[in-house]
Amino acid sequence: MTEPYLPVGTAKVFVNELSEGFWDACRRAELTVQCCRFCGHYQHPPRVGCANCQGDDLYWARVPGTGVVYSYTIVHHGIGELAAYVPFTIVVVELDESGTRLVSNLVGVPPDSVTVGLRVMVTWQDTGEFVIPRFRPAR
Amino acid sequence: MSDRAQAAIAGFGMTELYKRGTATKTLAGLCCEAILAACRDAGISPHDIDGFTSYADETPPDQLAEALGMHELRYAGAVFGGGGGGSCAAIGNAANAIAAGDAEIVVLYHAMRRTEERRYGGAAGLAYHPGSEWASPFGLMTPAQSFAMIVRRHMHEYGTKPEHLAALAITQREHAVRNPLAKMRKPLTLEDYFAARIIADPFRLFDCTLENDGAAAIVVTSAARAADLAQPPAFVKAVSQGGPPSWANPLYDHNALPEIYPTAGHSTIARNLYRKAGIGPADLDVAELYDHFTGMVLLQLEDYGIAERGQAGAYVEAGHARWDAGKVAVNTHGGNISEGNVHGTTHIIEAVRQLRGTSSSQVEGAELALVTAGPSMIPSSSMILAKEAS
Repeated sequence: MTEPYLPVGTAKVFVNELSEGFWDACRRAELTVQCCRFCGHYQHPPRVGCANCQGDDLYWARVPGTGVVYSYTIVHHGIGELAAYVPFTIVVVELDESGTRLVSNLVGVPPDSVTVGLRVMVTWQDTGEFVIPRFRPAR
Repeated sequence: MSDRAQAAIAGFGMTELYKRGTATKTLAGLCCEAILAACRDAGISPHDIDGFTSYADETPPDQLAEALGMHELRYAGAVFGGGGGGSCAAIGNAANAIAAGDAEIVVLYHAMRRTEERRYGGAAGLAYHPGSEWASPFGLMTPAQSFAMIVRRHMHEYGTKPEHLAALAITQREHAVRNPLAKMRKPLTLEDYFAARIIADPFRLFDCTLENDGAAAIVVTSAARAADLAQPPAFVKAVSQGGPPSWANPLYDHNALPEIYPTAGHSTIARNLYRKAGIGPADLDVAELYDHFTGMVLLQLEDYGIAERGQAGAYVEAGHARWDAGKVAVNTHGGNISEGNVHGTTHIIEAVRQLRGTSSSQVEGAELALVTAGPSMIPSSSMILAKEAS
């Protein structure tokens, strides 16, 4: 499959003060998950405090970038510019180490090869403005 | 139940359900038309209304109070959230206002006009919502896509099949064929279902809600006042709202706890509802369950204990959801996917018809009806309406 997987202009990345650390790490090709320095709780999406202990000392912990497909859909009705990119996958990846889930896409294989339980690893798409984590089947 | 005054639904009204984008009235105009119809049904004057309740609606109550020539507005309340999650909670707000003595006749209104920019799966999906930074970079922009992934996980865990979704779409269409108000009155076959295009796998076209223009309104008052009005009251037995916080996330980041991810997020709402009502799922006669997507109706059947967890597909495939099966009938009006979509207000109306005995697919001897609002961001809500006062 040729990159980019999805058109950059349509698939907007909305960065805010809670999420910018994640996207900064993506520029270094590092997949990160918000983690509590006090109790070690991983959480996604990032929050102002730890949902487990209410601690406010949170950091972006690097995770291996591997995981399994927890669920997925194959999109056949694309909106706007995405109409030209169907069918494409959206996957929910349960990440190793953190156990949190990340929404992304399965790339590099035909959409209908996606299954729940498929082991995947992160791959990076540099759009110029952002570096976006997508996933391919783990070797 | 308690010593507080019970509320009852004394009337309802709807506009025609127009093909999307073809209504010629404004949203407020559609609301007024539905409210006037509801007043005629209840046998009251619009001047008698002294409160409004709504959810996710864009028409402010002051516009309607003026347009209807109301003497005084004593109560107006709205439920948090977008879409159809607040329909039953809005009835709960009305019941609370009436019990508190804040108002006597509170009208729920809701209107839809699906202009191009508001279309489902349309450009509005590209706008920023809290949490969309974790969804839109990956093309996750529509409810169909998010709920498809929840239902896909349910399929993985419990063996639910596309044929189960088809069975529900076909059952609801059978109900719509019998309903003169429904938009979709041509029978749906299994072949039709599978021949239709895929929207977001496993959802095909007929798994998805209709989009239409139209409005609906419901008159809520005290049981005592309702007894003097034109129609047999449908008593508000219990209302419950809220939901488990992590289930709110699936629309964007899909981090619900594993035990609630493949559900409709209504398990806590259901528990509280049954406790308040003092009944259980075996007592229900009919369930009007919010159907943005067929699969989410299956998950609600499980959240409400009408089917065992993982068994809702089999329940529907066995024909139990049909109006005449003698089990808990489901979406006897045809629902959003075959009657038409006013964000769940029509599900409340159909429950009232069932309790009056006037449904086009009347469940024999219907006395207790479950109504749910849309599983979506929390708070979502549900309620039980009863033919008899508590």
